[in-house]
Amino acid sequence: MKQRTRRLRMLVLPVAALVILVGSAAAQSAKPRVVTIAMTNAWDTMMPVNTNSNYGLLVYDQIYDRLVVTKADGSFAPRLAKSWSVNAASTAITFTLNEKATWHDGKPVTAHDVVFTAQLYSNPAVKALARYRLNYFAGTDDAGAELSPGSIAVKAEGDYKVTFTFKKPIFADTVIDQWATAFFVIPKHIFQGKTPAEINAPTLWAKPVGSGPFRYEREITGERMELVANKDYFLGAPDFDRLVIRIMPSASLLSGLISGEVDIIAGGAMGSISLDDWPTAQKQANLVTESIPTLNYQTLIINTQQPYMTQRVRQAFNMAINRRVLVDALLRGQGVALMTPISPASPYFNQKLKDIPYDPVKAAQILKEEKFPFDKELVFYVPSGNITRERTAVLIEQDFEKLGVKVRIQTVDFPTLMNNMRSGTHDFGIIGSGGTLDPAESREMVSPTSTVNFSRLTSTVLTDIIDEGAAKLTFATRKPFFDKYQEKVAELSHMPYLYTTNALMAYSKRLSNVSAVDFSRLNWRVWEWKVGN
Amino acid sequence: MPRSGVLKKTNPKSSYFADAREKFKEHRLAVFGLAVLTALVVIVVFAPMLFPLDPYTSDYFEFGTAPSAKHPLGTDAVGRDLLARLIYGGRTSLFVGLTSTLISLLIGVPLGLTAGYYRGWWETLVMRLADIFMSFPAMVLILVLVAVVGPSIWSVTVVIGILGWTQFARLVFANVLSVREKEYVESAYAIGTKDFTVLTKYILPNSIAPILISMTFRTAQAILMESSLSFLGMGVQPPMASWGNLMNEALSITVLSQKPWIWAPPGIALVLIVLSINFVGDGVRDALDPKMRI
Amino acid sequence: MAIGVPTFFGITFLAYLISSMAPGSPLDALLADPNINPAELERRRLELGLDNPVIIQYFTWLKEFFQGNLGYSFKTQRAVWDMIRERLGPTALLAACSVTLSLIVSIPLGIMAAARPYSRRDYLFSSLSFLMAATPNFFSGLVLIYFFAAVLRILPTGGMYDSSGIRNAAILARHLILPTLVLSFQQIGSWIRYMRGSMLEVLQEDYIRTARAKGLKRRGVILKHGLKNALIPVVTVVGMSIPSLVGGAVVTEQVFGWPGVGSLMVQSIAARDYPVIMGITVLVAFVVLMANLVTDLIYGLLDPRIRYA
Repeated sequence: MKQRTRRLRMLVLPVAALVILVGSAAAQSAKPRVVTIAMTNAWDTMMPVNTNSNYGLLVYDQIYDRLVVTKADGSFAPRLAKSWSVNAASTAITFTLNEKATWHDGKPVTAHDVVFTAQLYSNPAVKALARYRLNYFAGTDDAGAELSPGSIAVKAEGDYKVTFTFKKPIFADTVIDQWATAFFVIPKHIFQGKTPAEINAPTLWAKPVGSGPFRYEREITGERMELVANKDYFLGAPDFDRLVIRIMPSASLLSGLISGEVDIIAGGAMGSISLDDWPTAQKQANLVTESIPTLNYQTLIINTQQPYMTQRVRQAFNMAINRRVLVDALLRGQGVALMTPISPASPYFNQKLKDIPYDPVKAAQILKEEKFPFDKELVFYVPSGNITRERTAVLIEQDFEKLGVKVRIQTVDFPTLMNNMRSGTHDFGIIGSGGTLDPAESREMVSPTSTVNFSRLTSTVLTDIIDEGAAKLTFATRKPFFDKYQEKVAELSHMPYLYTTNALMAYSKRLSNVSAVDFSRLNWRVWEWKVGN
Repeated sequence: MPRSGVLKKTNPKSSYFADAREKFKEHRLAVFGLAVLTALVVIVVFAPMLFPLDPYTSDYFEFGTAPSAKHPLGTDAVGRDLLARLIYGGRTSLFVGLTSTLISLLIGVPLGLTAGYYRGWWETLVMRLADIFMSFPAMVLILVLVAVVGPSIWSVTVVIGILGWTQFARLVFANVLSVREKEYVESAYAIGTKDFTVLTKYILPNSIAPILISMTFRTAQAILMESSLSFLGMGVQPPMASWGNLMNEALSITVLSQKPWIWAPPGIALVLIVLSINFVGDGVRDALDPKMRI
Repeated sequence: MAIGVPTFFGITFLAYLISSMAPGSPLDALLADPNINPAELERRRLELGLDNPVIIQYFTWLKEFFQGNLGYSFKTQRAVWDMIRERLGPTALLAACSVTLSLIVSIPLGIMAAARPYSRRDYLFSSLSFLMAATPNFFSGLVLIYFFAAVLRILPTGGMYDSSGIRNAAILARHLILPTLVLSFQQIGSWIRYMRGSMLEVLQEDYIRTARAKGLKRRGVILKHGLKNALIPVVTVVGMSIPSLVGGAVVTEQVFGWPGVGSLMVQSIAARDYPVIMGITVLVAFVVLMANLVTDLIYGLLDPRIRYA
């Protein structure tokens, strides 16, 4: 009897151990691998074309595909389109689609979906706030709306080639940058035959069928969205099972990263580590940190219509700004000083332009020569919401007061700021812009007819240069104009540009193969990320 | 239940207020509160006159540094001395607290008086208006109003002031109702005393005690409101200092966990001043009439 | 109810008037996003119909409202009711937890303080309650986050759930702890005072003395005879604080990233999103009316002399 029980025990124990081991391994692999990404504001809508806010792009980038994406260095990378070409006259662009692309329900993505999407977006009965991006194409009006049903100039050639024709010859990169990188293709077989009322209602978009690397599962609006990996994604299946997009106040981003609640942040204006938190982030053993140069900039605005703000006076103020303190002390080196809206990171940067010197003594002298009214209290409007910008304003105020000038800062919220600057009662203002690779990006701010002409320019000298340059078709022929633009900007000093800010990124060490540099170009490539444990 | 010990009766000729003063002194917390409050007020008002304190100039070499001999409470992110900003912040808080309470008083007391005295449609209107103001969440209304006029120390003061009138109006209204039927009021009216005189000479003095008490509590409330608004960025704006906006920096985890000298002093100061005002208010209430319901 | 209706109109009109006076239009708010190309806004100007005078806009809104339509948000283009409805759950949850916690803590403490006034226990509780009432929401929030989330790491820094994809009550509860504590902190302080004061008053009444004279035990007297009457003013206080919980938990929601109605209100004000601002105002006005109604009803239950007329 004892022999038998002993032999049984010898058999049972190793078997039990094996079962436990196998069981726990199975349980481990059964546990889904989750990655959490955090951003600071929620998306407005699930309709990709019906928003002007960029926060939705993180969501759409996972569920849908656009034709092309941008990289940090300014080049374009394929997404839904595996290649594209522009005709010799620069009047049309042809995209060749990736044949492996499929919708989440299995059907293939074809050129007909692309055509359908363009026609849907250009239909004026459909709510599409970003429709104006289509206005490069023939068959549409200035707002991108079609002139007659289906008139937008897009044609499918076979199942995987589609051609778009422009209204006139144009530098193709502008079209790609401004439109193709935001053109999310939607499935024809889902939306075909639906009335505009049905399309405008949220129902059809609520459980989206896209072609992207993730499928929508569910959400708590304003707090999170949960997505499941699309294992059949044509550019490669994601390395993990679930993606959770969380909305968190920017103050909590670092604590979320430290505690492990969050694996990575969206980057750029959508979620970055603040300057105050940067040293702490760098010290964390479980985080990878990167300081990424971006095109985001801040600029001072001078109201050129104030009688005492002559060109020499403006140049004097420009000279009085201590940009070195701003960049070195305030930004802690995480940024670059600017003289014009085109940053050193852009290929259009004018290398030959001399830096504006920091010379407060000379500036004060110029003010005296120009008979500046030193006893007048100058109004400086500062928008709330960006703490670095508010601090910049405080430092600039002190720079100006060193010249003997009286400045009063008024911190207001954005709509109030815009309103007040439009009514022209201000002397100074300070705002920021995302900056794009298009050197003509700042055109609206210097155009006398625009509502965002805050420096209140009345001459078209700057817009003329920009328009001439924008009409040229190759980089080499465009650059001289934008060089001239930058010279003129420095000379006019209507907007003393201040600095670009680096995007401070941090993410968990369990992630690798993350190309964080591209995040500020709204290109996350989530399916390429590799997840550790 | 009478307090432990015999009610002290000092000089039989002593006035109501002398008695009240005696009772106040018995309330230990109130005395403590008064001491703390006086100390805070003295520091905040007189320190800038005695010491060189500059809350607005940046020290370029000392951005965000820890407490040192040069800067006893350290510096903020743009190099401004935090001790100076703390003291000037106290001035801001006191200013907003006191001035807004005064505004609430100036609006609420006349409204309450006239509503209780004349009654009729005027009373209905005033009380209805009070209902509306009281039931709406103050924070939300203030946010909207401040967005309209733009945040600044004056807009915050006026807005908090305007929203605080209901407390005083209701108080005075209730008081008027209880007094107007009294004989001395009726006889004054009967002999032809003008309404205004009746109101100011006979009815108003009755309400002084509750008004005083409400004033203290309202001041504390106003200080808290201003600090919340400034913390959110919707109140007193930098470069002007306020205890609320000084704490705004603590939204960064780094400042919160590693630089407590930035946010803890204003926070503690805030709690102290509100606490001491509340203690004093409690003491005043006990002194003037412990059975009184506010 | 007849009293409530003019109040309702008063609130909504005031809200419309005031919020429309805010300078700048919803389009200006879009410029706050640094990625927005200023050119885009030109094209939206005409679509929104912001040129009509305020009165016309208010009556248009009112007309839509009576047809059961709260309109569409300028910013997100979604139905206002949908946007608000999504936020009601989290707000109600937080408010309910906060009121419950506040009542559970303040009623017993207030009674205990009043039972032996001016004793050491009373001074302790009173001082504590003063301290709590003097602490602004955001300060207690900061301190609590510092200790529990940053230093001890036992509680999350915000949000409603963690990232595991599981949504059960346990995880939600864990995420509710800090926001509820912060929201209740100041409230507990002042409610203890109210409870104590109210109880003190009641205990001085004749019927209490009679009950004691009859030989009833002290604790029984306090709890059975005193409590019910002492609760009446407390009911008022609770009723009055409900609206502020709904719309006023703004700071708490900001600090913890709690997706409630308060943070939606702040965002909408910043975006000059009038339809949403008005929608939330209507909601709050409605909650206020309901709270008043319920308060009156409970009054009637507690004090048979007062019945809802």
